[in-house]
Amino acid sequence: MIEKKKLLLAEDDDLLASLLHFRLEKGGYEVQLSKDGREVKEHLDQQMPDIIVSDIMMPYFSGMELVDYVRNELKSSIPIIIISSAGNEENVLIAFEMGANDFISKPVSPSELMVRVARELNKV
Amino acid sequence: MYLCKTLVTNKAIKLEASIDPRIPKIMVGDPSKLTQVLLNLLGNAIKFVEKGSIRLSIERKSSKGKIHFLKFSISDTGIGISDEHLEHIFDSFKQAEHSTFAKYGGSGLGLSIVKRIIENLGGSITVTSKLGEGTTFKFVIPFERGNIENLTVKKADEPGLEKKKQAVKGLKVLVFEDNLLNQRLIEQQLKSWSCKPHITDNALNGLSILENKKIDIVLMDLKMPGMSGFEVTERIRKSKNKKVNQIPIVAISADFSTKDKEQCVENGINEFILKPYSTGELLSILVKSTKPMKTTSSVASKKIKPTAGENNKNSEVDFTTILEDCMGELILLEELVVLYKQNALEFIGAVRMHLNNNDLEAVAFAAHKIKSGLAMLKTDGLYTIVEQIQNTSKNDGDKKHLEFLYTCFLQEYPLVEQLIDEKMKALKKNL
Repeated sequence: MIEKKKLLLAEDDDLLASLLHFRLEKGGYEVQLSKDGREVKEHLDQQMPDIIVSDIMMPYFSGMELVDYVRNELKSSIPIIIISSAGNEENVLIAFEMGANDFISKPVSPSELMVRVARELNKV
Repeated sequence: MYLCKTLVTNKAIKLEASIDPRIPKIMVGDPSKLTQVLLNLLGNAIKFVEKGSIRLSIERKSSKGKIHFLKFSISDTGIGISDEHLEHIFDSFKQAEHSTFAKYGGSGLGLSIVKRIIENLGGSITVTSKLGEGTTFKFVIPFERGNIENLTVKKADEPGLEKKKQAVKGLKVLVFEDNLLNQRLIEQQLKSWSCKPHITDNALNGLSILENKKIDIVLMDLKMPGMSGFEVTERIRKSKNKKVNQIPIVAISADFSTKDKEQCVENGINEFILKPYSTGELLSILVKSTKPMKTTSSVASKKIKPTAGENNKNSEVDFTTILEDCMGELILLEELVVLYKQNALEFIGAVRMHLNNNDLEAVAFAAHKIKSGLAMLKTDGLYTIVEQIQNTSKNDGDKKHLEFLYTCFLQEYPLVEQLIDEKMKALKKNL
């Protein structure tokens, strides 16, 4: 049996989080949902996922800080996909510079996210 | 600096800036990065200073040929930082422990990233601080002296602006407006977006244009001499010509009372826009008002079977996408709807409170938070209102306009909720 890929989903918006959680689990991922930056950090310190999907704007820990933390503190190169919203384009560029792999804009199409996640994981 | 001033409105803080006159007027650098860095440091200062002052000074430290080293310093008279904290201030994640950040969430960069950006630009940053006295950040970044000739003026376009402009290109707009100056202004504006404006100050003349020419949308000043905008609208809606009686009408007025708004809806006016409006608002409303026309005539109407309660005016709920996203799982959709309603109620409560407290930053944040859910259920009417609330509270902070938008949301929301409930019922029945 193939082991499920572990995906850390960092999203503080309940609606979007529920929807994405559902879809990603259906798609065969083991999803760990974090609703704020503290939880994200706790999860990361406990266990490294195979891929991270994170909103750019989050309480306690922005998506940019998350990328910075993973790349420079944890020294990990796991794929990170950033969820951005209108008005945050500048920050997305920074996130990319810090080492994010891909981004998807709100409103997020779950199907599109699934494709992007699969693509990033195939690259590894 | 202007942006920062908006952040300190209810604090006893003085914001000062001084710029070395020896600095050349035109410098080549990365303005967006510099803005990020400055906004972050100034923003932090504002958060930690209760009273006193924040000073930004920029001076030329040294120069080597074309390269000028500019020294930026940001000092505040805030609470200061203890030595042990100071040591780790640029370390990753130290920011997050600050309880202050819990208030709005870490949308900021964090000092570790500020430092990295500065270093990427070839600069360096230092900090000194004394508890109880204040903090000073100093950083130096090299800039190249620029020429006026190779200065390309690039407007800071708002995201999606091009798309919107594209959407209204060639739009045939009939404008009822009696004020000459306003006529000019709006004509110019519309032409700059490649729309085709027809301007008239005469109701009868306008009506005859409508019957004889192909017009996509009507902009109507409500207060016109002779026939009022409401009367003209009534005539348009009563026209036997199907193309004329279904045309989108946007009312323009300097003041909308609740009664006016009710009359707008009764009369069949689709949207209203308050004077003075920004060009961005006008553009958005043009895009919004013309969109449904295009889609209903093509694909959408063929796909979706009309349901019984589909005689709505402004409010629209479209579950096609979300149901697809939920892979037809009604239980999940129900859960999302519950969350949606909770969010809306929270939003209504939060915005009321923040408006009373004059905390516009919090209003903008609340608006940002609810947007994603509104977009997911495709409740576009509410989305547009919230987007305007967000923009207004972020930009000019016009309190009166915010109250107006908030009232719009309050009036619109129950209608949308009812539509959602009806739709959910219908979906369940079909199972």
